[in-house]
Amino acid sequence: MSPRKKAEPQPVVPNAVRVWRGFITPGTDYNEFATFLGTIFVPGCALLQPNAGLRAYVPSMTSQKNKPASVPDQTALMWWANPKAHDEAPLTPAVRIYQSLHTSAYDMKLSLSDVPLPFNGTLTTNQSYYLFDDKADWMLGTVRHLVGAPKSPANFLQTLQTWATAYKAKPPKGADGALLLAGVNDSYVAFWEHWTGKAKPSPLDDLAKLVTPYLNATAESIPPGGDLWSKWPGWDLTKQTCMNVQLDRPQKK
Amino acid sequence: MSTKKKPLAIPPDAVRVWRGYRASTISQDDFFTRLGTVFIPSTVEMQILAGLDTYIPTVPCGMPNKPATTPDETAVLFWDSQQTYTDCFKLLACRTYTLTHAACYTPASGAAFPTLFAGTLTAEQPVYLIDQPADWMHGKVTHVIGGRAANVQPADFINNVAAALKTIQSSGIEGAVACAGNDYVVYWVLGDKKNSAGAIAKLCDWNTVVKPKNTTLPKGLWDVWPGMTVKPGNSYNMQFKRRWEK
Repeated sequence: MSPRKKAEPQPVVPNAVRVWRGFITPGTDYNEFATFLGTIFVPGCALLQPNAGLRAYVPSMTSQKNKPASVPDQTALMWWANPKAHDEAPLTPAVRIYQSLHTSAYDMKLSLSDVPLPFNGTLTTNQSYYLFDDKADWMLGTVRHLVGAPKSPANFLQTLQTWATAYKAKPPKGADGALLLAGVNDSYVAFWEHWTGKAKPSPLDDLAKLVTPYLNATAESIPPGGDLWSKWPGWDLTKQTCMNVQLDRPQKK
Repeated sequence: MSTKKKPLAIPPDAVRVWRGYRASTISQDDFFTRLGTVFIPSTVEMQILAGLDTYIPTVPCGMPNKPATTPDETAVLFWDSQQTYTDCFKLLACRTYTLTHAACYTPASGAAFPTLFAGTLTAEQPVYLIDQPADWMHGKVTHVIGGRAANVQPADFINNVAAALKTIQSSGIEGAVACAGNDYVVYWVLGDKKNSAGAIAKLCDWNTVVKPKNTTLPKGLWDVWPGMTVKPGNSYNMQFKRRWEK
């Protein structure tokens, strides 16, 4: 493969993202689930969709060790060029192909993607929120991601609201994006934080202390190992559990 | 205009013979939509660079009186070689393409390479009749899909098809591929000057004889394009530039 060109910044608005939380269908073999995602689904997303408007892709796998079923098995952020791009993308065959990757691996009664709302002090469960109002390019820079179940579930939503309000009032210097998702019935919290450069200490560290983490990682910036027609087996998602996939985005005109 | 730079002799056995049956979980309308917007375009666009040389899909689904025991979709897909097809699964494009079909077809559906016809047929095992390379994409193809008559036993039906194929094999055709099940036969012939297709159709009760229409996709993978409109009985000989023609 030829050396990758340095990607030009392509910041997008904070509601141009689909926030995915996936739950494995009960009874599905986890290794098969991870293999399907790593060899087909995640590479397919990374290679079929950038030319149709995908601008950043952060897929993650949570640890299965003692994980309650109510905590997602997989999360992903899919950032698009603008808020309409996701819905317009299926006008292209490539995205229709990606969307046809049917799998019974996900429990679709629980799995969901949504568009975040601006956080204004109040959280609703199972609805994602953004904490920065300006554009950001999540593919560049650094992404931290936490998924955890509360150590003290009582009033956890209130705790999160208080924490998020404080975060928004005094965001860490250098961060320019954050997304927050509270699971139903105080079951889990997912938080993503984007830094323009390297990550620094952040209120995220305090949030992590309130939960039993099933993922607390800095996303590994990693390009696909080839194109659609390369001999590339895909990723081992039992090892690469949190990635910021370096997409081949069309250059801005 | 010839686009050939390094013509490849496409082996007669390097063909996947597909018989697909629509799953009851997908409506007939949705099936046609999926075929036209995803399956047929993706077969071409995702697999040319993997070594696909010819793709001839036909959609008998929805034709009047078609028995449920005859396929809802058939296709022949010629590759550079059998190994090329096998190696295809090392490529994300082929792994992805294959999985798009998962929810739309019953487990009775399947594809296989043919063996050289030697006078007898085994149910569900495709055969090829002419042991010579041929270019089906640029040739005149006729395709038969037919169902067994109720008053003919499955073994007799298969034997009757085999007897007809034996005659056809020495009739001067350029190529032929067939597959018989207990209840159906599918037959493709290249350069059918003596109406062998009619001979196969006569062995069936319900049947259709089609001439696949040369069809070129107007757009690429990442172009805005709603896809093809597929209707009952449509048959296509997809026209594209092979990887060895680029």
